[in-house]
Amino acid sequence: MRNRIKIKIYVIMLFMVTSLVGCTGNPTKTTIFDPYEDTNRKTHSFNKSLDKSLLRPASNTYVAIVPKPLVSGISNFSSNLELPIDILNGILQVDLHGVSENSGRFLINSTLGIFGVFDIASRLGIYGKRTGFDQTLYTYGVREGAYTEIPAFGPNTERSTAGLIMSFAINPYGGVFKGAQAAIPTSAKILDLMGKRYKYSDAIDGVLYQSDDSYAQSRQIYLERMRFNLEGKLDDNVYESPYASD
Amino acid sequence: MTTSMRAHMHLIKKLCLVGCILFSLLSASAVSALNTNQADRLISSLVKDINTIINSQKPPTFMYLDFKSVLTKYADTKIMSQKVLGIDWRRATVRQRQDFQKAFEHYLSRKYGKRFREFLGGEIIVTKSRKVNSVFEVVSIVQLDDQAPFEVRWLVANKDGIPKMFNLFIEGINVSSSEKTEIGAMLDKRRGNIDELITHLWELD
Repeated sequence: MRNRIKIKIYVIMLFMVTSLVGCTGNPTKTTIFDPYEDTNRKTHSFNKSLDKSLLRPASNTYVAIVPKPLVSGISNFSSNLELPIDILNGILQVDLHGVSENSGRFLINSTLGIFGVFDIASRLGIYGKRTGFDQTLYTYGVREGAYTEIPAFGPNTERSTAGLIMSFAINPYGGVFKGAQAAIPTSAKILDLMGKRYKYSDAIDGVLYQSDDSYAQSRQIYLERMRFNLEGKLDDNVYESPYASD
Repeated sequence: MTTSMRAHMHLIKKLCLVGCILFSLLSASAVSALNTNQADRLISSLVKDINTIINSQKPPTFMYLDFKSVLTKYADTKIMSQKVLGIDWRRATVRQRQDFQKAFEHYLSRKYGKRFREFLGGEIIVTKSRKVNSVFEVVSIVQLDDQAPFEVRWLVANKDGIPKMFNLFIEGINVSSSEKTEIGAMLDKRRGNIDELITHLWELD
């Protein structure tokens, strides 16, 4: 057991170090840096066909068959399982406020909310603070690197890809869900994804299927939102008057 | 005319000139004097109108029309059109510019009206405003049932002494720049034909 934890920590440290040096330099930082655009565009059309043939129809069926309270219950259950990783990242970022918000949320929803099925914490105004390894790496000064669209996972950067691998490497439930139960977190995550795909179908369809360049559109939306969430502010150059005389 | 009279006239002329300069300076500063309160009031009023529309229970088509009147009332859609069309604005004829502006208003109010419509039962609340460089930033929070609140930021600029909204950011997503990308893609697909772009904007669902 102790050895397993040790190995995990080594893996995380290895990824942190490699991503520190590995991210392709983005000279401008605020604009779009996409040296792998050709490959990314191919992955994007693959992801689109994956959505069209699998995720979208499956999510429609899922929401049609499964009663609404169950859909949100499963979604809550899955989000609750992700909180320990958010808490871990909060500790790594020395973000005391975030750690206490997420711990409080995890505690309340795991007990009063019965294993996270009911989101009692949100009703109490404890929404938690979404974070992850991408933010941790950002806090440690790792540059975002090049934009990369990953098969099945969609828009990312080199930094967030490293973060994604770290969260897989950690797998906090290896000791909790054993045997046949081991598939529970992933299954819940997939159902959660399907529920969200349905809930935001209008917005997602708008970007993927109504845009004349869905790749450019999703890239821009992803990067702007991610930077805003990490930096907590807009880019300085947006504060310019559109009137030349000013 | 005596020498003293001539000197007198000269003084009057000088005074007139100084007066004129002073007057123009004063009126210019009156035009440019826009403060954070005015920007805050503009967006608070805009947000109030949007909240009313969201919870009005009207059918979507009517809601989009209401969103459009909010847009044209508070925003400078001409400057927004100019921004999203970018360099193509320069080669567009006066007629095309006007037509594009109308089509863009229609497109924008439908596209973002759909998003705002999802806030049914929720409320947008203005939380703070500040001046940055020569523009004003008004921050608002969208409060929805059982969901973490998120930010919509509005930028206001001084148009000849009148505050006008010229851009907004939904969770950090720059609407003006993402529409610039989108309109650019539409135009590319139509080989740069502005008239076809205008027709397309009207036809989009």
